[in-house]
Amino acid sequence: MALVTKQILDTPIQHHFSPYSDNGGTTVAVAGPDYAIIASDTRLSAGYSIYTREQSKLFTLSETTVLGSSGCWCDILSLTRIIEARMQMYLHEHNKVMSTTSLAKMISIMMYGKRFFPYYTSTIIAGLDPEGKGCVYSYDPIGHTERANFRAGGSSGALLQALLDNQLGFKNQENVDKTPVSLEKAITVVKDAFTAAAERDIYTGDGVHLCAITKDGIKEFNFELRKD
Amino acid sequence: MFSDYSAPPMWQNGPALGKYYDFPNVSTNKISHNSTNGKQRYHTPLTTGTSVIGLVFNGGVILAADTAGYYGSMMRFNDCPRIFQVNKYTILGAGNDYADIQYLNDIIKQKILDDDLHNDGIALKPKSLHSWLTRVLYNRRSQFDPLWINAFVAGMQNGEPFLGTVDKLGTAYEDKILSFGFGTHISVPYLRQEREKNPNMTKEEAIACIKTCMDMLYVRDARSGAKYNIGVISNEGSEVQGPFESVGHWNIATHGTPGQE
Amino acid sequence: MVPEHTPGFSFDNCKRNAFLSAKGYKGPTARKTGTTIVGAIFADGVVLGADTRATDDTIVAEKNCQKIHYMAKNIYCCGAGTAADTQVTTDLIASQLELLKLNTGRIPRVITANRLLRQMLFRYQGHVSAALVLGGVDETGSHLFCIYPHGSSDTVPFCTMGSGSLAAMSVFESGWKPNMTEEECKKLVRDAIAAGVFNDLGSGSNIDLCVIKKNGVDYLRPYEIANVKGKKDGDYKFKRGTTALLSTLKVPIVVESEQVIQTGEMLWRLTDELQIQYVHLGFLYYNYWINTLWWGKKELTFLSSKEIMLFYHKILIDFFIFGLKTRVLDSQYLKVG
Repeated sequence: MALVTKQILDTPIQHHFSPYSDNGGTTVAVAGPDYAIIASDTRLSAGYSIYTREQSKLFTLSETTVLGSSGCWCDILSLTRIIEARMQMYLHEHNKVMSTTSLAKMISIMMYGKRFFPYYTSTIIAGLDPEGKGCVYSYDPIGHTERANFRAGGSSGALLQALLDNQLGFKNQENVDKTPVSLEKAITVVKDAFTAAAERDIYTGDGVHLCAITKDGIKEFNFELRKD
Repeated sequence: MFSDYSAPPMWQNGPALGKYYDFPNVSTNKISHNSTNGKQRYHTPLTTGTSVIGLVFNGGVILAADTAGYYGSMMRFNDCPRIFQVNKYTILGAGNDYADIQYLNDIIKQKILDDDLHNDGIALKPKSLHSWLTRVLYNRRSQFDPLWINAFVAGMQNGEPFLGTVDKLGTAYEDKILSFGFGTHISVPYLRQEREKNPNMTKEEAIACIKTCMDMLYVRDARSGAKYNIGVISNEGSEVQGPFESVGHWNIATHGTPGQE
Repeated sequence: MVPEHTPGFSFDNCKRNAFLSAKGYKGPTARKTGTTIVGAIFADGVVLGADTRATDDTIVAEKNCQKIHYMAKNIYCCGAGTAADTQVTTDLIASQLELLKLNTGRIPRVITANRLLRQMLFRYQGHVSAALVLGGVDETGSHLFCIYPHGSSDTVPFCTMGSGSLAAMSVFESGWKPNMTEEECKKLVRDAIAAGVFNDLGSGSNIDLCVIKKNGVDYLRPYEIANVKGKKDGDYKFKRGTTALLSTLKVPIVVESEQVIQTGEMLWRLTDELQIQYVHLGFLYYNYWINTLWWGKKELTFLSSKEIMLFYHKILIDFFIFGLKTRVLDSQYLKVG
């Protein structure tokens, strides 16, 4: 009997447990000369089910920084909470709000700290740097980071990055004015990018939550997307 | 916990010099086995409870779950209530492993007791309980020893209805309609359709919708039972009603001629 | 030359593919119709319904695909599963039903279609992944069957299949009743498909319905455009000159010869059009003749066989003249060299 019990206990349990889930969603961010915008869709899903149609994936971290993240939702919740806690500690220690650039580095270190049990997220932050210029930083799940002028991440990231390269980076275009686009134009392109993604990506839809960050503060917008 | 003036180290738990990193639940570390002896630490659900459904109506929230306890495909227990009154603001519902549900409920009960002992009128509010659950469940999943639970918190906070859920990974969200298990596929489409038709449901209308859902689940979910409880919460207070009983309808099984196509 | 292959499936590459996948090669995936398909019986017939989304993993591969397949004039069949399997399986059985009809001179029964589909699917042991909702009306009444990929089937008054089947079932479970009117049933089937479209990520776009009654079929495609394509706010037209010019090549046009034709050309054009109409007429008569045979009617065509022979003679001659004339006309085009 004891032998049988030992055998049962020593045999690894076959039932599968994965600590991760893919909850879909797309984030797009654009940095301009004096603004930054970041947007996410509002569909939270798993498998073929829609969990909720009204979950924004944007987190306002400060007056000048907004974070957007998609992927494993439980990791996103934990990551952003720890970021918020660390920002609080920074504020108490230095008596100033963390700048976007400092935040960018801190997030990278936090993510790399979990190199071997990563936060399964596609994260982008957008904001104004200490000089007041727009900036966007994007991350891979284990903390590689890069400053960019525009970035798409999440389930439609690969679909939309090419569009942004063409429309905002003027790639593969001759004889065009390559000055950075205005805030209004950037919002239009980002909105249309989500409209396009919702047509073809099953994990993107329902709505868009968009934050426009300027020196006057953060302005929020909401748009509808298809619901199928 | 932290030193007096400085932030805690950003990077900790690294391997000491000459040691290897202890990967969570990965037995690649051949040299020094950890205490689990390379065995997977997590358990699997044994006695399980199926769907939980939640619905927000005008001025309150409803949670419902049946009372069947399944052991694999065997309906082994008849009276496993899964809707609990936490306090006058909050109701808790849970699905999946019943042992974990009881364990968690015991901890929450103790929290409530501790709250009451202060006798200061301050009690756990639904958003706080929801947030607390996300941490408990996320930490357990991060230790590869999850509480195999889908928890639902319903309540009133600042006069507004609140309905939120947390799964065994710590995935948390709020909505007007929530469900777990088979109910995600059967009840949510029905409830979304009904709420679209009638966004300001009264309590009675919402209860009728929930009862229709429980009847449907009894017919279509092989892991369901006939008896179920309903937890209702509004500004008047919270209560768990029931058990109610689904009758089921099997008349379409007689469609067609026996022995023919 | 392309080798002629024998009827049925070819298993030539099975061993090779198994070897490759064992080595870690990931082959291309088949297109799935993550789908909501349903059927319901009402007082005088059957209503079938389907969404119109086809997916390739998480990408929408086709926004308006047709999932209600023709089986016979009185039988239709919705398909879920691998797109190719549902299409080919229903086509295959449809042609068998057609042959059966020609052989027996009778309208095929729905149970026949059901049995043929089941036997076909059972032979392939679930590898032909087609989940079907078969509905139709025959002289024994209205019938609805739910056929599973492994070859089993259900006889039911309402049924749902595909990834959205549970969402659709919630509508039927809460709303279905026996002996509905046509309008009630259409509304219910529409709601069932809509539940799949909006709650199941594998289903989407439009709602197709097919109403089969004793006296005919209403194939409503689309019955409802449940999701309108998103409108873009920006303008994405590129200005002339946006595309990079890598190199240019100038080819001068050299006129080798010139010829002006004054007469007859108009006349020839006129006769050309007439000839095309003759050909159309010919096919029409031919079709009519075949149709009457198909339908097994006693009265034959209004053309005698001699007349048909004469008619085709004329067409042949016309074709000959037509060929000659086009050759003449061809030689008059400008040569560019």
